[in-house]
Amino acid sequence: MGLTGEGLTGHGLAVEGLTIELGGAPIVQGVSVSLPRGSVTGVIGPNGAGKSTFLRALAGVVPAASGTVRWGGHDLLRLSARRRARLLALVEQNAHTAEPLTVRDVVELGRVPHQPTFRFGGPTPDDAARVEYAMEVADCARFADRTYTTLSGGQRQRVGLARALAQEPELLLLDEPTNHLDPHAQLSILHLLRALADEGITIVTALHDLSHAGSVCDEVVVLRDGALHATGHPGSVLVPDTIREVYGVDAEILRHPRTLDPVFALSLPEDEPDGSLRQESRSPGRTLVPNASTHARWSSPT
Amino acid sequence: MTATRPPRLRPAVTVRGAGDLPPAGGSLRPIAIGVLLVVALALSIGVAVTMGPADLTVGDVVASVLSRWGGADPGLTPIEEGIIWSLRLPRVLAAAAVGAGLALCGAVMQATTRNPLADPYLLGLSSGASVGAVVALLIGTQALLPAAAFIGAMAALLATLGLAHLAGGLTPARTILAGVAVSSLGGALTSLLIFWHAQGDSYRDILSWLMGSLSGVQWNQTALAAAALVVVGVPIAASARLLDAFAFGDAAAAALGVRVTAVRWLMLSGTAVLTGVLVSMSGAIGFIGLVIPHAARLLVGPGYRTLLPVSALTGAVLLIWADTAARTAFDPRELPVGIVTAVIGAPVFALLLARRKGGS
Repeated sequence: MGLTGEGLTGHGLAVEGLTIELGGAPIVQGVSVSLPRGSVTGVIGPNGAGKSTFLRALAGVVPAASGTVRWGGHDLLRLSARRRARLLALVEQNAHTAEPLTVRDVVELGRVPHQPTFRFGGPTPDDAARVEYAMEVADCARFADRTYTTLSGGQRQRVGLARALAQEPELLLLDEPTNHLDPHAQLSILHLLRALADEGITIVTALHDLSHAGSVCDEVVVLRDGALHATGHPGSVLVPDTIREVYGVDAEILRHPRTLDPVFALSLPEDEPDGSLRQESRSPGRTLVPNASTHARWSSPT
Repeated sequence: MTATRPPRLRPAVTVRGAGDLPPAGGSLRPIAIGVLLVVALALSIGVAVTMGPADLTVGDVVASVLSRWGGADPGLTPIEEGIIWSLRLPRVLAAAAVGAGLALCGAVMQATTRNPLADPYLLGLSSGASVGAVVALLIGTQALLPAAAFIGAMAALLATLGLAHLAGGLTPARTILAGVAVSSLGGALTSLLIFWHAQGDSYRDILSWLMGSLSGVQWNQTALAAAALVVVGVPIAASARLLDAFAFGDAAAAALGVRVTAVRWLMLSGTAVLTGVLVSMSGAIGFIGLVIPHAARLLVGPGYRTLLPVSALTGAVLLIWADTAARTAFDPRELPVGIVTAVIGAPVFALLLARRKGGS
């Protein structure tokens, strides 16, 4: 937990006891994490673990039942929507519109929180320049004039990212940005996220692929049934015991021969050929202290 | 590793040479279309006033208008002056204001409900406004006519959205169905009220409230409609970016810093005010609010900064000509203008429905 103290001093993202209820049912319960500035954090967990809801609550899109989210000196949950949208941006999955917007139109939406509410006329030169730059960074300037609805999933993901960057966020939240993308598109999005973090943007992204989480993230937050299951450096959290508890699969952690990144070879447990999770592994609220020997299995060479 | 990096206050993407890049392309086209539409509107007003019995030319109209502001005497007879000033000019300008206002309301409703079929007529606001106006007329409080029409429009809006919500959410189809129900009820109430108090020929009255008519419009009504258009339309047009932000849905708009519920209700209340004032003068005119924004999208694209003014101008021009056709086509008998707009609008509505077949 050495890294996590920094958030409490006001320099990073500090989530305290965040609970979110939708329709009376708790979706996220009492999650507390602290993430340093300029880091990439992967939020992982099975389907329905509350990853998307967690991110949406951080972005203020769904209301939190209780808890606080601090970013620097700001209480994000009490900030006005407009001021919050200048600090953080959210890239959701499957963003859909019926309007025949061009890619540039969509990216320009990212300037809305910076534009006065009442104003006539088109984008200012400053807006236009930031939009062009965001499209260049996210590599979608090539198809800036195409209609959004005609784009492939990977292209839409890039446009969503460019729109978020046009907001000039300090904190960037992404919901499974590699979903439905081909391998090259997945890796290039992750590479871009890493580069943005190195620029100083703090990134929190829901991820499904453990190998992605292991190779890109500085921190991982493991959610299960809406509760925090584990958090910390991926080397100490993404260990076979945790993976089995959370996903109900056996994991063998290998190393990529060239990049030395961890590669997770997953299999259904041999004693459960149908893959159904054992009852005790679904008990909510269990937290895990990773044991040192499994940690050492793949983190020791570094 | 990352923990040791010094925190930066503004670590966002830095822009190289901000201001060097040209503004986004294609910005000349909307301006050109806007200028064309302004010219078309001015021409339409001038020509429409000459249409009908009495041998007037556009030159006569212009000279007559100029003479009011210190120009030379146009040399028209008092009857010709009267036709221009008391009959046709207020009516043509009223048609322009109503057309612009309804088109604007349609565009705003389509954006805030994310429903391409939304407009004041289909969602029942117009018929609700008619009920309010007729009630005010029957009670004999002519001065409260626009306010009563606004209350009627607002009640109809709440009824439509409430009904759609009860039926399981504001999907386009449910909202339209709820609007049809509210609209029918409003039409029936209007008819019943007029019929009950009938003195002689009530059918003309009923028709003009249900299908719209601009006959007998006075200058003070025209002025009120124009004032409502400016007071409601200008702030909405100035905050068009908020409407753009609804393109990806409520959650995305909220993530862009838009106070979704407040903005939606402010915008929809604004359309109810405008619809109320316009309908209290013209009755319920259909299809302008539905069709014009879609035509404007084809012209200038989906951005509301340009879409709202272009919709308003197009709506003004279209309703001027629809009303001119309504009063001259079967001269000396007048058609309700709603018949003309329906003849134009219904096929377009059918086309929109057909295009949505795959989508929803």
